[in-house]
Amino acid sequence: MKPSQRTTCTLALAGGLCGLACLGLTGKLTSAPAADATDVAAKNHVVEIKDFMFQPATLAVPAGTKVRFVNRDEEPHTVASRDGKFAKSEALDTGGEFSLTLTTPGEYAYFCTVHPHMTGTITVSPAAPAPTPAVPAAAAAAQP
Amino acid sequence: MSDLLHHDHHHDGIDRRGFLSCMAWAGTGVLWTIGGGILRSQTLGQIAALPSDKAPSAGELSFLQISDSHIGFAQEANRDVTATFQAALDRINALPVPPAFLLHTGDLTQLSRPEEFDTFAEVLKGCRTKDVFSVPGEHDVLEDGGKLYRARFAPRFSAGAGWHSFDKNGCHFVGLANVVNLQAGGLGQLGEEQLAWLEEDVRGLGSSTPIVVFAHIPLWAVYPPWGWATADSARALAILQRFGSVTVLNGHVHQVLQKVEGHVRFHSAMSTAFPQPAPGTAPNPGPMKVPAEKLKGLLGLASVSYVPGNAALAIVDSTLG
Repeated sequence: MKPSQRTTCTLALAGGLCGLACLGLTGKLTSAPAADATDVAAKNHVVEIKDFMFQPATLAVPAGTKVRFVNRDEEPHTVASRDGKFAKSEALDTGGEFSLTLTTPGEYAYFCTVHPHMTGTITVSPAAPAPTPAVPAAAAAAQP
Repeated sequence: MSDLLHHDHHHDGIDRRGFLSCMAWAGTGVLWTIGGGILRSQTLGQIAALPSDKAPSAGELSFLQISDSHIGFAQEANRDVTATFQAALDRINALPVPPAFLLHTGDLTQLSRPEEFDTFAEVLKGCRTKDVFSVPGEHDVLEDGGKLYRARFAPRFSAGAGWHSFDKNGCHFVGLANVVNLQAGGLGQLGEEQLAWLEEDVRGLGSSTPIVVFAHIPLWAVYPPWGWATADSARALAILQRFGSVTVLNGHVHQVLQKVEGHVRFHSAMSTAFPQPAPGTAPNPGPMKVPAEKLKGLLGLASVSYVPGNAALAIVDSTLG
């Protein structure tokens, strides 16, 4: 690589790193503290039913992800689709669990049929696309 | 104390004479409830002194409202709800004159499970009063929209989710089911079919017929943020508007709350299982834990009496201890 090209590359790389660092910093400022249990649960695709709330109340997952609901309350709760998009769970006693795997992208609003004021939403995004194939070596060598 | 709380001379729901004599009891550790200007309290053992407990005169009617037994619940708030349900029935059995029938205002069970309905029915068999009319609570219709509840506890003459009506001593009783088809983010619901049935059901009745409505979720706005209200109750009350005496008995809230609106008297009963917090005093309406020795003082049932000529039915709430 010629020296001028190397400098350009270095500057571009530095710029890119700065950009990434800025994004990372912004991310930290707007998200909840890392120790928040709800965040941890969300990362693991778990919705805790606690204190008459679905926690987190909104959860975003890629299609095909299994979401686990766990009832931590002393009252039974259910998970029912607002518009019939999935079969209602059984009544979950304390400690009871319900798993839901949604394969079609979209918004899934749900509520508890015992306490209908309890509501939540799962937003299902399309599954990650397959990686694009690498450029064949012969085509790269043809570049000036 | 037979002079308690049955006189409403100013027709404003406040029994002044009874209030003053009751205040003398303030140090006795008796549970007091004040709601809608109506003071009610005593322990079940004292029901013996009330008119409702003497042999009824012609036309007089005495029955009991019992509610929220939650058979199957076993958390800290009460590890043995079957025992406290049994204790309530024992006290009913100890009355010199058993009530004519019981109205159970729902949540017989905790999880609508067959074995819970079994236990409920088994314990109930031991009650001297054999006539029991019930309406479902949301805990009774969890799995199948209430099929099992209806098969076992809805009267043969009921329809839909378990609504029904019957007459006793010239009073018309209406059991409503407002716990199925609950909408997301919503409250209790009667629904169009039930409202149409209600309208037909009372059409031929004279306006002086005392009406007693019993339903699980309150038919007045006790506390909507916790779901303690029924979305279309105003429609039902409009249908009953012309009647001179309407008594509405509800459960669901596990405490005595009362309200008087014109000719309508609303009353919610205690549970025989566990208490719940007063509206808005806790983050949620879950089971309220209290010290063991205080539990029975927060559980109970209500004695209701009708004397022909008195527009208002007399309701007296009693605790289990």
